[in-house]
Amino acid sequence: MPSRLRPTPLLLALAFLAFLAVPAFQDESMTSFCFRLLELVAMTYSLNLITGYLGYVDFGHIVFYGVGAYTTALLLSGGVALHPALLILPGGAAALLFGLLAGYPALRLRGAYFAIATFSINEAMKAVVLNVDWLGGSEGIPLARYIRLELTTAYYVLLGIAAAVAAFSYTAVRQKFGLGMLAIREDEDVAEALAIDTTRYKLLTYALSGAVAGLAGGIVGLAHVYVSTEYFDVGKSIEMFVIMMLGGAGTALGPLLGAFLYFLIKDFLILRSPHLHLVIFGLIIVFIVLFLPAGLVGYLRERSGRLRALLE
Amino acid sequence: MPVAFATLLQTVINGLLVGGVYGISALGLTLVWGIMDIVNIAHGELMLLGAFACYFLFVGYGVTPVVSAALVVPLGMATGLFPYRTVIRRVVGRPALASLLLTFGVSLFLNNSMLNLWSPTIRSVGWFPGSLALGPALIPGTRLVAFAVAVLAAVLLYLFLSRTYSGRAIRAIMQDPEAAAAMGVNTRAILLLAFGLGTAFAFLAGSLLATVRPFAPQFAVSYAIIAFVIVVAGGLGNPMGALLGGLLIGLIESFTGTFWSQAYTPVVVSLLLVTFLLVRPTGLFRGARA
Amino acid sequence: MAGQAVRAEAAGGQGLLVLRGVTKRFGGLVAVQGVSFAVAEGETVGLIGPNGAGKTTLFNVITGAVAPEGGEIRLGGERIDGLRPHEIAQRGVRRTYQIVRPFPNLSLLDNVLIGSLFGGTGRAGEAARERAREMLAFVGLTDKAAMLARDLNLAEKKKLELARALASGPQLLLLDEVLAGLNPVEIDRSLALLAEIKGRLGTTIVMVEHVMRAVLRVSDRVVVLHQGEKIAEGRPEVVAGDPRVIEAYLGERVG
Repeated sequence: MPSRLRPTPLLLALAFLAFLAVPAFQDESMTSFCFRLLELVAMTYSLNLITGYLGYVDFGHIVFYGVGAYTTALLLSGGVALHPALLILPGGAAALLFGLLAGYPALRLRGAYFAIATFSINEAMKAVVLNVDWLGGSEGIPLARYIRLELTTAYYVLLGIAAAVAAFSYTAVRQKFGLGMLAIREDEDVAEALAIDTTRYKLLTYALSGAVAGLAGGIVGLAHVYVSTEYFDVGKSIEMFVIMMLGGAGTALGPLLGAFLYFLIKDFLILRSPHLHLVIFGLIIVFIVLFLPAGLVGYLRERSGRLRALLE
Repeated sequence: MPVAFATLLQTVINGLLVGGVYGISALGLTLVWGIMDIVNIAHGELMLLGAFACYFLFVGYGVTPVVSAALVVPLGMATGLFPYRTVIRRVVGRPALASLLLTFGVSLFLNNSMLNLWSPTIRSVGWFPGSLALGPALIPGTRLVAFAVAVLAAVLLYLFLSRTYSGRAIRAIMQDPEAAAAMGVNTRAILLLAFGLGTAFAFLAGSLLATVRPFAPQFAVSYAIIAFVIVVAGGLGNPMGALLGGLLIGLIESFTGTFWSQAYTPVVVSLLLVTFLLVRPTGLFRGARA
Repeated sequence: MAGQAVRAEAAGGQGLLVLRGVTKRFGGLVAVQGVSFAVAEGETVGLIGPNGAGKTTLFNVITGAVAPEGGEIRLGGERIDGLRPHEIAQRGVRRTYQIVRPFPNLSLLDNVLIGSLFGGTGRAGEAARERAREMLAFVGLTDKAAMLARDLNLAEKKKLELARALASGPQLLLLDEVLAGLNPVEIDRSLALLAEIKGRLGTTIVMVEHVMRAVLRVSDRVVVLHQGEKIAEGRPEVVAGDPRVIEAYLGERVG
């Protein structure tokens, strides 16, 4: 087969290489801005797996982030001394396990029922964390006396997570696993009639995307040397949804492009009022659902037949 | 006796009375959900609009919440027409993904508009109609009035759904949209009416809730979750189930608060939701859909 | 021939697919009542009957989409009733839908690729892709491989579903009104395609069909359902003249 230029992996690779170069400038504020950007990129790729590719709306996706952050923080404060890159692994594993346990009943639900269940799972976890003493309650868990982590180190770890989930998103849809997810999104009954073990696929996707969010939560918690119920806050869920919709749900470039777009628009709007940007983003989401269901990537693809074959 | 009778009675009274208001809120949600298969994620925000209407009428003009309750119904009806005509109707019949994300956008818009306009300050309607003694327990006047208004609204809705042409058309579409359309029901007009009614009931529930406990825009999610749980418990598209489910959730919430901790209410509600969905996806009460 | 007979015997019945006393109710409504018949390997059986006779329900029961209340279903001798739909599909059963259900936002190639990747004879990697292209060529949709399924017309969508169902090389193919809504030219083309599936691929077929001309031409045998029960079974030309069958159809037209 003749090799063809594939701009999607090229763009992804260039973007992540650019991220890789950021700490070299030794500009603290720039690195910390990009850290925040990468956090949302990684989280949105993770949400995109379950919602964009599998078609299950997860309004409570942030719960995995919280579970990962708290697991990592508890291990650290409990005296487990490991390199931070290793310390977040149990956080990811806990999120994976949580995904399997919560997903087993929740994924028997479809459509709106699943979406509501996820909402409620997150609220429940938040209430538990807020009220259980050894989880820090409303005080959270301060970590500064256990660890001093260079922002650069945390940055590279987060970059690794984001790049890995982006690469997975790109490659998955050309493989059995990804096509199985898409089939379920398109028509779950038909997918099942085509011999796809939908229960297994859904559970794996949910737990896997949860693990990614758990790893991200862990490293962010370490970088900020503090975890609290903020890690279960719906605010971040909202940002993830806005980014996914802006860039293009169910596309491999969407979360990356969406995150840039989100910060551009937000920076522009936030000058006026702290809540105004979310008012506008609410309208933008409505507009996207009605007119551009595949976001910016979808728009570019519709505009030109050539782009359609190139952008994924 | 480990638990004082007075405590028990008080818990039941508090739970049942608020449960009536929850029931009204769930009625609004189930009307829309049952008839057009759209789960309105913005339901909690609509309730808060009702709460703010009640608050401003009381604080600004001294309007008694009972009168406000009557005023917010047409106000809600009129408000509901706008989102329906502009956006909601475009996702009727489309997959859940589209309607969920669309109403999520609407909720984001409404919630942050309220935060912008009225700030995250927690407010309460300072209306104190006194209270009644019932044996060793007290019936707070606000709750009693809220419950009475809720019951009246439910009865009126029942009469509307059973006695009028439009009401019967709503029920017909809930049970079998295709058959209803084949019988010549003007589906478009009826959907519009149902969305208006759903919004009106959200407004009403919100205005009543504002007299019972403090409120703020950021509470919208918890309002909505309670309404979702009730609809699921009561059975989708089952108005009677919504009312009974409201009472049930009101009681459960009240008992959780008395015997465990108010803070754990979301945990209990969440466990209930998942249990209902898995064990009795058609609701606890057999009704219109059975 | 002898070997085949022995195999059928070992399979505990008279063929690849055997239904015995299959019953399905919805609430108080009987959709399928004590239906029994068998389909031999390589055979094409037409399933006919007036609207509401229970044909699609029977397909849903065979594929596991709904569970039967009574009776048993065997595929190659193994009981499949009570299995989950993907487990039944895993054993080589594929279907098309009365109201077409392609994956609308995926390309035609991906639609068929999904068909060839999953299932008992599922292929992997490039072999699956090759198989998908072959199947698209087989139904004549090669030029449109990169288009999205939602942009096809009805006849093309039906062909796409057929390609998707065939891609795994099924043992048993259930066709639910593949001809409905097509114009006469398209019907002829589809019939030629069916003949080829039967002849070249040797697939066992059960088809629900309203276009009688097609049923008579393609089927080896016909099973007639009426109000959920089997009222006749036999060679197409014989069944077409059966008074009970005529009455069932006439009854529908008058009532």
